[in-house]
Amino acid sequence: MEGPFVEKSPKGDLILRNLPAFYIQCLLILPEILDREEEDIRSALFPNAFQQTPEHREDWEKYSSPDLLHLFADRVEIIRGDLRNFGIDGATLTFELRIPETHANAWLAGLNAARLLLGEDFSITAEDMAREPILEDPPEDKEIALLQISILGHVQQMLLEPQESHGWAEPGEEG
Amino acid sequence: MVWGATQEETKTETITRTKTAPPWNVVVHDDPISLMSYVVDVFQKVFGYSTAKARKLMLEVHNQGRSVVWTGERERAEVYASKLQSYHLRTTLERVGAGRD
Repeated sequence: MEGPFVEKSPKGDLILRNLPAFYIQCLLILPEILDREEEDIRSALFPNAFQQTPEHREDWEKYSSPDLLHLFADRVEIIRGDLRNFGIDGATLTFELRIPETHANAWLAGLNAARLLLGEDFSITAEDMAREPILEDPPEDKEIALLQISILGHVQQMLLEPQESHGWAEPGEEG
Repeated sequence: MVWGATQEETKTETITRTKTAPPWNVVVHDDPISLMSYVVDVFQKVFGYSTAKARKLMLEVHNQGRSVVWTGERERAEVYASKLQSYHLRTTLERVGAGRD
């Protein structure tokens, strides 16, 4: 059977096709991975950029952090909404997901955030990323996380492919 | 005219300060998770860099652990750092000439 692939509709929507059930499982828990306390998100994903200059840190906390947290929350909602649009291809018994073109940036960033959060939760290293997950019965949580990171990375790569040739809408046009 | 002279002095002082303000580096740090192709894509989106330049910077991040991806005045540097962080690239701001963390 052909593996997952992405198609662009005449309207510009991205359609992920031929998604196996375990891809769907992985994608459906994306909002759960991304739903965290604001302080956890801030420390994991939006550390203060003024590491060397404490006198500027307050500016970052005051002006940049709130915008970043709002954008992140908006993107999680976009992803949550798009995940309601799963369809089933009756012929192949695989799944498909339609992502509006203007949501592509939200998805790319959201997928990266989820991968980073899983990486932090399970102390995933560069060495871990260079190997296959070890899926014994029962598999360890870290190995499941490594598999999730890999699958979410594959979805991210699929979304990047058409972008490399056409480009997406600007970030401000999400929504 | 005193009032005019004062205004001129203020203007000169502002210009001098702007010209002498040290530039800032926008620095992206390596992480073991983000896809190389994603990092290239973000550099192109945020800065409008060519694929070749974006790839070169991505490889610097990957091989050297960090790369100065833009240098300039502080306000714009902050905007770029914020945009890069919105895509979850590890980004810091460093005053040019200051030591590394």
